[in-house]
Amino acid sequence: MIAAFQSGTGTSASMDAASVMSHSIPRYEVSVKAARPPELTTRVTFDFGGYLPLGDGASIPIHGRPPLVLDVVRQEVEVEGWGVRTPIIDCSEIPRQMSRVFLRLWHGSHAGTLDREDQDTWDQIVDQVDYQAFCADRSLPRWVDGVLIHRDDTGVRVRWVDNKVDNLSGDRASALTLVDIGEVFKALVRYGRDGNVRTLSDAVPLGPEKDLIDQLLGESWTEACPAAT
Amino acid sequence: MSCCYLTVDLWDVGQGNASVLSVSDGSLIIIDVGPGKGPLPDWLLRKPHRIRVIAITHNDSDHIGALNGILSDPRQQIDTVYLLRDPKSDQDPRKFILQYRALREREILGVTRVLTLCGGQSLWHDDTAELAVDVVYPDFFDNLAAKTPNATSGIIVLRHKSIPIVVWGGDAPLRAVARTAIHGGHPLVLDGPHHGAPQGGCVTDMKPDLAQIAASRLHVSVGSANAYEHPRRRYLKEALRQRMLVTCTQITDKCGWRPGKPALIQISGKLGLPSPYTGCPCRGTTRLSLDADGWHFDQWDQAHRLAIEQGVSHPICMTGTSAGCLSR
Repeated sequence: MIAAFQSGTGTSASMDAASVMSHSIPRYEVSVKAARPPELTTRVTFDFGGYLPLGDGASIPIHGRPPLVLDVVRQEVEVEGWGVRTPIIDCSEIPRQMSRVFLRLWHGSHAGTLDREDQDTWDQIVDQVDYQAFCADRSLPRWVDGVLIHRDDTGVRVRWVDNKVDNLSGDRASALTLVDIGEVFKALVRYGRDGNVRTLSDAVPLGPEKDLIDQLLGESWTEACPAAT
Repeated sequence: MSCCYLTVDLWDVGQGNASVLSVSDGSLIIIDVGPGKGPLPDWLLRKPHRIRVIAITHNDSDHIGALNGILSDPRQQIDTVYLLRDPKSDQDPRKFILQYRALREREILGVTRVLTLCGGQSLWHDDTAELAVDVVYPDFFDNLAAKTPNATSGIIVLRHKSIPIVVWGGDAPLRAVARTAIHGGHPLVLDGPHHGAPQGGCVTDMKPDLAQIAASRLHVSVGSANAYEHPRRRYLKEALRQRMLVTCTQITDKCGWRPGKPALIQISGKLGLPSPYTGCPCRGTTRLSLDADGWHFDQWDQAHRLAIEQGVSHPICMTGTSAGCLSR
């Protein structure tokens, strides 16, 4: 306010704020008459966009822009359709509260325990977030078999059981420290939103390919069905 | 789910197939498991299940890819896995067994049976035998004569009181589906075959086969970014002409898909199931349930139709004679 006032009166920049206040503001008695009583039921609506924090550093984009309704009378903010309502003073809590609602309903939906009201809320909000990104981020690691085919200073090259080849570096490569080149291993793998390996852990070396095949087939079977050439 | 005798979920796994049949006692029957990076393992691994049967129509990675990841979880009680013998010339049995190491280990331990999928088998039936899941193709000679894996892909039928309800065509020829799968009536759902691009023959050949099958709904399990030109536009249009309701799991470039497009509607999520991590869901997962009043599809057809109208530039399923089909 002070800055705006100074600008409006053309006051010299060298004058301090106190002198501006004391010398430049004329005092008038002002009476205001309202044309009609204030609209105490006014609700102001905004779009809510951005991201929902998931509490582990991850977040999911919101692309449905749920309406954010300001209730002037109650001095509250409500995220319509989400069942989230907070005092205006706590509005910075809204993303956190939305995340909590989303995760609770996601769990209930997965478990099949939602009641009618919660199911209706879930049906609405699952279309307002990037649910696919959420599914990728929250996916559980799964066991995947592969063969370590190369290792150098920059990382490792792995051929997975579906014959696809991946170059891995960083933590994903160092998780395979105990695996020899040419050896089959199994490891817990998490895939990312792009379908690439996001994390790799709990690697178990299973031995060279030939030895493992012999072990799985059994001796007599191996003799009856020699390796294809 | 407890109100239902049986729930059939035709999953959206991107490019690939996976279906889960949930029996009222909580046990599962799984027909194809989708690709290795698909969402089915994530859903299964969240708690232990009794899986009576996993049946794989054929051994392409978009149908069998997730198998190892499921079998590697020791908490999953898996009674029987049915696999097909593919006539792949390059299929080295040693590599195959390495690929499905977890399956062989379960067999050695005696916790899971591994059987060859073959026409005439009953995979499961309920106590009264009113509900049954049967293999109808390939029989021994179909399998022997097949020159490609798809020619001998399994065809599996869910029957209720001997009437076909869902036909899983795998990647089999449409002619094989018409010849084997519709004894006893016309199914509610025809899945595929071959992601809406049936093998062999031109559209003229498909017409009589589709007319013979005369399913109420054609379910096409297809990934947005598939490199195979699936589904075939003319196959879908022919199905529409024959008054089938056509739904695809994901939208493809044939309907105006572009990378980065968000899901039209998240039906997989609404049904409490994970969505595939890639692609753009169109119908997503479809659920079919049997309760005391009969068979019901989930309630999302109308919402899906609205989402298509608002979000798809030129949907195949809304052209020509399809308008009536979508509201059927």
